[in-house]
Amino acid sequence: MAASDLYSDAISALTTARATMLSPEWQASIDAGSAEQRLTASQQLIQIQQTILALSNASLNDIANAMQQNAVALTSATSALKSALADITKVGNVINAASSLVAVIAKIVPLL
Amino acid sequence: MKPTSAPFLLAIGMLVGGCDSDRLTQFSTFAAAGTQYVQNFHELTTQAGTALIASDSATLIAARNMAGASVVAAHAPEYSTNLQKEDQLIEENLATLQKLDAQATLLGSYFSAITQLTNGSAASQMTTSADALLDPINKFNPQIEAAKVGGQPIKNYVQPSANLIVAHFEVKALDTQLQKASPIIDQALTLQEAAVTAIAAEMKASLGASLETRESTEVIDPYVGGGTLPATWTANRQAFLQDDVAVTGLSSAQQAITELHNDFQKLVENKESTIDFSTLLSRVQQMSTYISAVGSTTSSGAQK
Repeated sequence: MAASDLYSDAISALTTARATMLSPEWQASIDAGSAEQRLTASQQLIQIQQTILALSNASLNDIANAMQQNAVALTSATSALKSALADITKVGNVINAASSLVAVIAKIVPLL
Repeated sequence: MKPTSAPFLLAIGMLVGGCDSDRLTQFSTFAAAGTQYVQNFHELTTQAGTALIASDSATLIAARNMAGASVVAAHAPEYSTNLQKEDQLIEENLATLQKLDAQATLLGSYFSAITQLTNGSAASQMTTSADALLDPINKFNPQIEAAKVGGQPIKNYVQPSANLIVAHFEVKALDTQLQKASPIIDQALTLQEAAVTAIAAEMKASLGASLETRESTEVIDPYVGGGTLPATWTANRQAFLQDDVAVTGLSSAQQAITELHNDFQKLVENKESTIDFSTLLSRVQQMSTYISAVGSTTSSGAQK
């Protein structure tokens, strides 16, 4: 897969995750969870936002090689996040999937 | 920069044939439309920046609410660090908008100088003034090319096009001016067009997905629901409308700058053609209408 496609897929999945985490459905799911889960979700939402901004500010030319080097992990983590977002009542799955994708991207783009 | 050898005003005075006279009138119309476009663009970049900050703030507030204020307070160092990181990332994004705005300012100054020249109301210093703007515009173009939006430099958004072939005009001063200015202005307009496309694409990708959700959850549902309106409802509605109009307004800006660029090329490439500026004027007017709508929405929202 081309670096530009990897980039588009990842940022699209993260943007969808952010929109989901701002929805009332997500809020309802989170309200049913533990305090620790709410804290983790809060931290993850901030991580997602920072990753979207960092990806937007980065130059694809500069990160294309790193993207290709991490292509397998990136594709897998992006797919996992998309799957997790299909059922947002499983808050832990969504948080873990988002966290995994952010971790892969952190190897590609310095997140400050 | 060395001023043009023959003042533009002299060129106007020397015009006796209808052809170049018509062309000067068309330059005047074009420059006036360009000036209006630039004024609109300033407002639009302000709105785009405001929308970016508002969207980021909304996410941060949601994250704070998710954890609860007391939990955030208990983890203050971590949240403080994250807030500072986010500020830096937003500042990088705003810096790109500032560069684009600065380029538009230079173009606007050039259009103003051209308008005054073609009106015949200015003296030779106006020719010098127009010429003097070419150098900074030319020097700024590479910075705009390299500016990054949505993971790519602006130059990657440039649409391929044939090299501009500037027509030769009978009046020497007009010819000299166009031969010198056209490639620089054409490149600046190309980059402006690419930049608006890039910003619009990024904002649509970044904000588009959340806008629909936000309208229902933050604006409509609380309003039609049976309970008391939350204290943040007015602010939420204002933020949503700002983001929505900024995204849509960038589309109108795309159409306006594309038409401005096309008409500029026609103006300098074919001296015989009669250019119909109605589409350009219409696009710029649509952009102005959007800008006005944003302004009034923002003002009325802020006063509530």
